[in-house]
Amino acid sequence: MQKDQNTLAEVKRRGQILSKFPKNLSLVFIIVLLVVVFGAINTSFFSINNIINIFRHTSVLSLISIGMALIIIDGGFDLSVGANMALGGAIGAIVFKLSGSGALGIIAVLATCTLIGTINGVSVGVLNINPFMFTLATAALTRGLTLGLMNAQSVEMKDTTFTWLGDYQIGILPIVMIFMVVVYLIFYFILRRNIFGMKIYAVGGNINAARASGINTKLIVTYTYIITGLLVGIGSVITIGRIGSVQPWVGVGLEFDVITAVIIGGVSLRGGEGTMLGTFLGALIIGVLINGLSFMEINPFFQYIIRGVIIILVVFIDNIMHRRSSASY
Amino acid sequence: MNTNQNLKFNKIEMMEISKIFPGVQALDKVDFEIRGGTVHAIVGENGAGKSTLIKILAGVYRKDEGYIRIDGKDINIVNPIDAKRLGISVIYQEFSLVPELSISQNIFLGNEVSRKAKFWINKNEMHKKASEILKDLNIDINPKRKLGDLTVGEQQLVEIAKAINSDAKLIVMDEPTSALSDVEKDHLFIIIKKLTSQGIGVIYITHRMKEIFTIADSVTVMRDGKKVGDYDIDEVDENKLVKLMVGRELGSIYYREKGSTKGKIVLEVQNLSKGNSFSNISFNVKEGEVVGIAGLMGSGRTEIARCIFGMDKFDSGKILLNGREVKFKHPFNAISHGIGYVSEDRKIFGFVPLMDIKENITLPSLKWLSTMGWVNLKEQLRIAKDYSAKLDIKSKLIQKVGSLSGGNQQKVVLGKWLARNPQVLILDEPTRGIDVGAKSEIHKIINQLTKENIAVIMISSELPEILGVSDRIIVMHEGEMTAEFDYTEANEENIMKAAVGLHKHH
Repeated sequence: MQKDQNTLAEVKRRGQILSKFPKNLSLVFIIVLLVVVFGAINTSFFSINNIINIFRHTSVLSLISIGMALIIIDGGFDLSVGANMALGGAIGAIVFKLSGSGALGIIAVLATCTLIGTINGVSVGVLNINPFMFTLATAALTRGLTLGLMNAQSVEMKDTTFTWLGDYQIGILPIVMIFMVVVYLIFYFILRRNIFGMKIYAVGGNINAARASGINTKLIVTYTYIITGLLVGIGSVITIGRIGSVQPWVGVGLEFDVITAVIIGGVSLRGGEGTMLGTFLGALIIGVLINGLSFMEINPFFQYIIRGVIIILVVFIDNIMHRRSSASY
Repeated sequence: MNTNQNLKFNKIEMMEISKIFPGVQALDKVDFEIRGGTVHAIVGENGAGKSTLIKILAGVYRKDEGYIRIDGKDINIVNPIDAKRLGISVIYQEFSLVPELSISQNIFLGNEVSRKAKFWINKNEMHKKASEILKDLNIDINPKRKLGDLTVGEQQLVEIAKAINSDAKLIVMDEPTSALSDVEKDHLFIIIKKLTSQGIGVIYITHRMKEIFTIADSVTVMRDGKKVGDYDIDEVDENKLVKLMVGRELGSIYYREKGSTKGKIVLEVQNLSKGNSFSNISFNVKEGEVVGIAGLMGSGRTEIARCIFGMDKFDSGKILLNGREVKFKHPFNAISHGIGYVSEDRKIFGFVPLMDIKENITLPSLKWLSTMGWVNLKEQLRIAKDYSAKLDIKSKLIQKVGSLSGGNQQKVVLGKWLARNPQVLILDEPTRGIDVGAKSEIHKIINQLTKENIAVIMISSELPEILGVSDRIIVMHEGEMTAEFDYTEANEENIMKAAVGLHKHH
């Protein structure tokens, strides 16, 4: 028994150290490098305020990255997260206006976004429609609906229940930071210890073998989109609280940042691979980058170029890593 | 046989051709020759090396050793374009035609290789040329029709017309009649005669003995990557060919104690039918028994296994487990009832390459290893360790299965099902593509399983394996059961006869 436990510990230790750590270590290194560079250019980058600001801004990105990571691990894709987030806000604003209840408004946001996630999930997972095209379509549909419902105007949101998650602070610590860490921990354990997490890896790694092992592959794929929808809803509530209004154009380009973060974090575009720690670090890199670039008041066109270059680099590295590991097959 | 002087070539020779794939000597110094204006058949069991030999001639594979000569002149074929340029055309079981294009467009497709390409194609000229070729072959089809509207048999004729249009000297046909009706088959034979009368050589690969005697002038028998011999068609008969195809000693690697007392019937299949795949299949397996399913590839064996395991639906018939009818909609239902399936294609259906040994072994058992969805990691590790030791998997449990050898991968797949304590285990080609040592280990494991009263259904294309391991043997031919033997009465010859359809059910 004693021996068993030792081996268990050893297996776990080796698993973590050998296969996960070096990749994530390099991500940490990139973050440090970015922070040092930005800090050297402008020392106020280091202020507590700015650091907390980075985490606040990154919270929505990093939460939705969790869902996107699950989807991409299972070989899918979701381009509708940004537009879905806007639609959730629009419906939430309408329900709030009619009922006067912040709680009902929040429920409406979560329900709307989860519904869109479910439509994506069933179409991709069960009906086997190409995820790229289908979520592109839901993105257009939800954005159009949002603009129509809100008449392309923003709506102020002062209800403290509605804005609590995105706005409330304990001292200088935003509540949303704690919330984000808790959600990450939950999904960390789901992926490592829960039957659902193991099935996600199996489906992404080899969907035929997963099915032949008794896994309901359609259901697992569908769940990844539903979870993403729910996380998008949470992201919508946080955003409304943070900016104090409901904006019809919120979330434009969000899918771009989220997918970049997830891929930088080591989730393989070929599916079957990726971790929560890596995803978190990937989101943090994007967060620091966006914050640093706007802090330095760099022209937006240049920001886009930098992001483009980063994605190309990441995809190349992913390709090389894959070639190396597949050589041993 | 053609004795005219219009031969497109005298002799194409392949000499001392060798080819090694990882772990397998696919061809071992094979000599082969065909004369212009003749039909030369190649026969052999699955894995005898027929396809490899043809693919080398067609430039799909490169030979490791040996040389190829046309009329005494050394030639070099390193890709399919070389082969085509030399006038070697292969008609594969899957056609290389485009359903959306017309017949004449298909006939001219890819022809730039052998002719000077014209950038602009004159449609009328093309149709005219195509109908000439078709007419010459006695094929009565309008070349303006869309290819996709034709039957499989007609498409095959178009493929032949295409070969002729590219000035083929030698046409290779790989199981050309497998999808044809009797009428279409007769038409094909007439066309083959026509080709030889024009001096073209035809290499004809088939599993169907009768066709060889209808159409071929000579035959080459292959076995285990080697040539057994070349024969004029008058020198041999069906029985002799079958004997030549299988004639070898049973190695000691196929070891199992057979015929010990069997228990009750565990799984029974009654009149199972599915579309074109198989019809009216009935058999049973008892506790501690191995029922072998022999037959050639494509005879419907794998399809039966997939239906039993809930991966595919069947049309009619029943599956009984311990006397009660079961209906599995998904492999999960079969797994819950204690059935395991080791697929013939382990890379596709067997394992998840990026997951480690521990995770793969416990994949079908996760539900029983967890409470409220949380997996008991200690228990998972214990089970993985147990079965890894039992199956003598020498790698560490955290090794990714994708990086293991074929033998170890197969052991992991076996372990996956053993960890579920199955009552029935279906093994589909359990030793394909793994080395002799691991093969022998897997046979020992099967022996051990039957001692633990597990009922085993084993599908195999290797006769020695079927004979060495099974208590009872079922033989399939084109979706039908053609024979059933007890291990005491089975031998390579009567199985092979039933597998090629020479011997109908008693």
